[in-house]
Amino acid sequence: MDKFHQCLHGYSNKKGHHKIAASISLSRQSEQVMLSMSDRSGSLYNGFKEYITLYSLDSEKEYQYALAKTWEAREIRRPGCVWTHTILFTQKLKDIIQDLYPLMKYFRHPLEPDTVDASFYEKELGISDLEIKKNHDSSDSDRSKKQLIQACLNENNQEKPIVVRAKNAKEYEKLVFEIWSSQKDLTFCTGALSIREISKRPLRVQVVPKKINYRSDMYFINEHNQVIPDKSHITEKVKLFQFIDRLSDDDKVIDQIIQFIKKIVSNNSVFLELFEAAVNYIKQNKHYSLHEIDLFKAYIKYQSDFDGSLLNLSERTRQLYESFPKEAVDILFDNLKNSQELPKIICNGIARAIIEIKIGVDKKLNLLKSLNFFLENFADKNELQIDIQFFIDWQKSNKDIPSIIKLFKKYYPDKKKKKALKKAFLGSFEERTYFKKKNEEHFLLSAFAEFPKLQEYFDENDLLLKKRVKFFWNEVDNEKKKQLIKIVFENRCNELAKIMFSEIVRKIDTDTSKYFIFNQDLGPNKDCNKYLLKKIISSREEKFYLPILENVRQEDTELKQFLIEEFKLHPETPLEQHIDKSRLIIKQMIESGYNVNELISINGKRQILNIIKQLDIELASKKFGEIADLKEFDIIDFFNHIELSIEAGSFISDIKWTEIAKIIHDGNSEQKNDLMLYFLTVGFQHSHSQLVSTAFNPVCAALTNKEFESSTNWKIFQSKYLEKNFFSRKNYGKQLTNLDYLHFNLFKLFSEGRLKKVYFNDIIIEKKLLEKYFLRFQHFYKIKKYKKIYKFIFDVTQGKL
Amino acid sequence: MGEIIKNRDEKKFIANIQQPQQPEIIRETSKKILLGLHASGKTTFMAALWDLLQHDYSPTDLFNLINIHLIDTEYLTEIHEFWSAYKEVLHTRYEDRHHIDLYIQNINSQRQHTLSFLDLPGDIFRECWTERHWDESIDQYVQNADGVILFINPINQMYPNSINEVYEVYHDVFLDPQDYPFDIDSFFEDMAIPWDVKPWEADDAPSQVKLIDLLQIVLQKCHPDCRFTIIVSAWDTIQFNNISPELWVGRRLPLLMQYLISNFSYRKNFKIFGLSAQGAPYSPGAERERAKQKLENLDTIKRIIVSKAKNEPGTMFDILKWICNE
Repeated sequence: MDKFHQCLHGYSNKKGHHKIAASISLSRQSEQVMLSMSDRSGSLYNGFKEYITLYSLDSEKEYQYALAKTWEAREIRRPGCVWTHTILFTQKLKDIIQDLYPLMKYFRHPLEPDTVDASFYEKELGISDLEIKKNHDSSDSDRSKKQLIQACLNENNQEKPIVVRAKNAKEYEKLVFEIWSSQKDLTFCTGALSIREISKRPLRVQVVPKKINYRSDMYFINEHNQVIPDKSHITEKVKLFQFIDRLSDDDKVIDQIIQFIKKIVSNNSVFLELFEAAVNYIKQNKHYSLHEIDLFKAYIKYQSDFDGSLLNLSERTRQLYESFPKEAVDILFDNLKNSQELPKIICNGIARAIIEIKIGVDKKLNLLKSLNFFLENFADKNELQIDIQFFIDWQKSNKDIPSIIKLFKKYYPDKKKKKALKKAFLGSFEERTYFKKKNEEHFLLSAFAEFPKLQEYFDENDLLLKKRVKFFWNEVDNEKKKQLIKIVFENRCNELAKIMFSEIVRKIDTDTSKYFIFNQDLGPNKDCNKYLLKKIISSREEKFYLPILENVRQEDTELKQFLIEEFKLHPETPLEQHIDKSRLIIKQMIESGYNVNELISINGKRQILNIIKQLDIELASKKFGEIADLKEFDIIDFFNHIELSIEAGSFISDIKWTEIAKIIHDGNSEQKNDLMLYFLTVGFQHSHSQLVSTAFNPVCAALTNKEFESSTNWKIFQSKYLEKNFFSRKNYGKQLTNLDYLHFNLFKLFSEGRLKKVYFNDIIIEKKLLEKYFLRFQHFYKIKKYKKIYKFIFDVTQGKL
Repeated sequence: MGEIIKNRDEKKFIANIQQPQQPEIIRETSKKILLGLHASGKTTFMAALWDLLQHDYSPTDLFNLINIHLIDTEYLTEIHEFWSAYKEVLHTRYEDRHHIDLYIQNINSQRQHTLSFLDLPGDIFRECWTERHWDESIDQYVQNADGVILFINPINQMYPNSINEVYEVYHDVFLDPQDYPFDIDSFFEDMAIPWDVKPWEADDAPSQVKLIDLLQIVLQKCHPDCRFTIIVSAWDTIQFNNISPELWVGRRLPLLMQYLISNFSYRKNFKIFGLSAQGAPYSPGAERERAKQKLENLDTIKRIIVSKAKNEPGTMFDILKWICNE
């Protein structure tokens, strides 16, 4: 048997308030709690010079209950010092102790004559078994106060202490002990000079002197037996307790109590609270024998008054069946046809207990048997739901799908059973705790993909497949995902697998797609990869494209070919719409070694511009050779974007441009003229830039003189740069002589009214001077030498002089 | 015309009202922690301070109480009752953590101060030494504190004994020098066994060691500009020796003094005061009545004995001034 330990605290000049002696050493945390609990409970008050405290030391494993007596130490000069003798006992002893009162005589004041010295407290305390088991006569205690305190203790709010005002610490000592005897988890102090708490949790019952007043964080019981605040039906409870005390022990106790409660309250929630308080009160005071079975009978009899969800029935039904099997079965069969909710829950609970206990839950055969049993017996008789617990257990123990399919085969034609089966099978996966077990979900999904027969019994709505896949995908690691993809792929002809596969594709994000497609483990023949790739491309979400293209390298010709063909099947790829986004993709592709044809077929024609932009100089000229070679390639599309490609154009050598221009010029395109014009216009508009030498010059080279003059003369006036280029470059000078240039300059000078001078090979020709000299020319007109010049100028200026 | 002039005057008048010439009020908040072993006079100091600030005694007052944090009035009233009845205050309970916020104003300089004190049981500080336990609740406060007030009670100090003194005691008590028939060392070896020598425990260490250990912890935690106030309480028991507080600390607690000097600069970071917050020694019965009669007619300011440097008499306000950094 466990022994009692003890401890003495007190004050000394040397050490202050400290532990003087102890028969046991406790953890540091407990020592600290004891140090503060053994000190004075508050400021001094007459009548409270000795008091008892009972508290628990939560950090202790063995000796966790402390019963302490505190005396004011008048022997010590310094006021406010105390002696405290603490008796420590275990949980076991707590259960054995009937009453605390007999223990009181074991408390020793340290200065009592028979307490020799501190060594007394260093030994274990010898208390005889007789004393422990003694029951104190409690007839003279204050009944109504006790009921009041018990009613308060019945309140749900555990944080609020019950504070009882008293004349002195002795007044309610016996009363508190009595309450403790019936409720042994109680903590208390019979002389709380201030509200006592251990790490902010107050002792439950505290007897206080008059000077302490009501605060909102307590239930306060004053001298007139009034409880403040009285909002929590405490008075009703006291009335109820009084009524219970008056009852005699017979079968109808519960009926009488329920009738009484109904009389005093109307509200349903209060009813339950009071009923539970009454049950607790009866159990604590042991007035009558109250069996669980009686309570269940009462629940069913007065079912409309009880709320099943608050009664914690699932555990209690099992306990009920264990302790009263006969009666429980009676309840079950009496109420099988009862369609009310509460009896249903109770019946279901009992039925489950029967199967679990009678048939057992361990072996797989037994489980199937019990399921059979359940379907045979209960699914028919009323609409009892099969308890999901079976399937959960079944899952734990085995994963025998074929036998489940057999079950389905057997019971599926029956509508009610079918419903129950489906619900049970799926319900077992719905259970929240099992949702966390990723294996289970994976198992369910693969079960559906793998067993075509199982699919016959379910449709998509039953399964919430999309939700499941989504959940699964978020929770599990890549290995599991891979397994699922494999299984789903292998069964891709099944309807459910198809749905799952498309859902998987939707769930794959950019990073994981890389993992799944290019991981060689996914499928030996890359079929799965291709299938997944196909699905992804047909989903037309551009976020996948980059990782895909990044990973399909030049050397993997098979996959690349597949990819190109796949893209061709879906010509309106999102790449065409999102020019900016596809830039990266194109770059990636060029690096991977795609040729222009492939680039264009994958990315779409509009992306040519981007292709140009991504090419480096050397590569660009190469590629443009290829572009130029593309006869079928709609070059007008290309020039639609030429305006934007100025930067790109600058990379390309003149020769290439000339080639392009020649191709255009020599070609039979109907739009040829328009195209050339357009080409030139663009060239002129950007004549300040390099394009003059790139776009314009080759066109000039390709055009004949007449063609050129007819359309472009006027444009050259506007740009000195263009002009210089046009006339000074040797390669075009073949057709255009200096005379042409002079002709051009004079024409320009006289056709543009604002111009006052022009530059011609470093010679400044001024309008005014020329006019002056022209008049002189008239005199020379007859001379042959100048006649030609005169005519030339006259022609050029169109007789304006 | 007359009306306009009148209006002008009114405007002037209004302008005067709108710009009252009041000195700017500076309010400074400072947190003080009271250190000291048990029964060193922390709570008595608070009681005396409370009495001093609560009542308008004389025009010589330097500080005025403006307001107080209401939660603590109950505690202050209680300790004040004991103080005014010439009784020793109740020992502070182990679980007590008294926060006292006082809003005071210097009458001369008009500066306002929020002084928040933390009064703790001495047992906690004793535990620092004996259990090597530093309470979490103090730690936060110490880190924010800008002032530390250390109390030393000369009466219950544990003074260290030197080996020489031990020999002397033995000789005086037990032996006549002529009765040395044997070797003195072997004598002590023999003596040790029958006497059942009590083993040394942490509590046997001299008080100044405990205090230095405490200061050391505080010094690590607190702000570098923290001000230290050393108060030698129960000064009335020492005063008649005509010794100044710093000299007393230097003589009786030399280690502590050495620690203080080597860590702080005197008058800048720390000061030592002698203080008898009660004004007379605690004594039971008739003697107390006599002390009571003697002190009852005195103002609080005169009842409290304060000794400044060089044993100059001072008042409680001198301590407050130092604490408030004025």
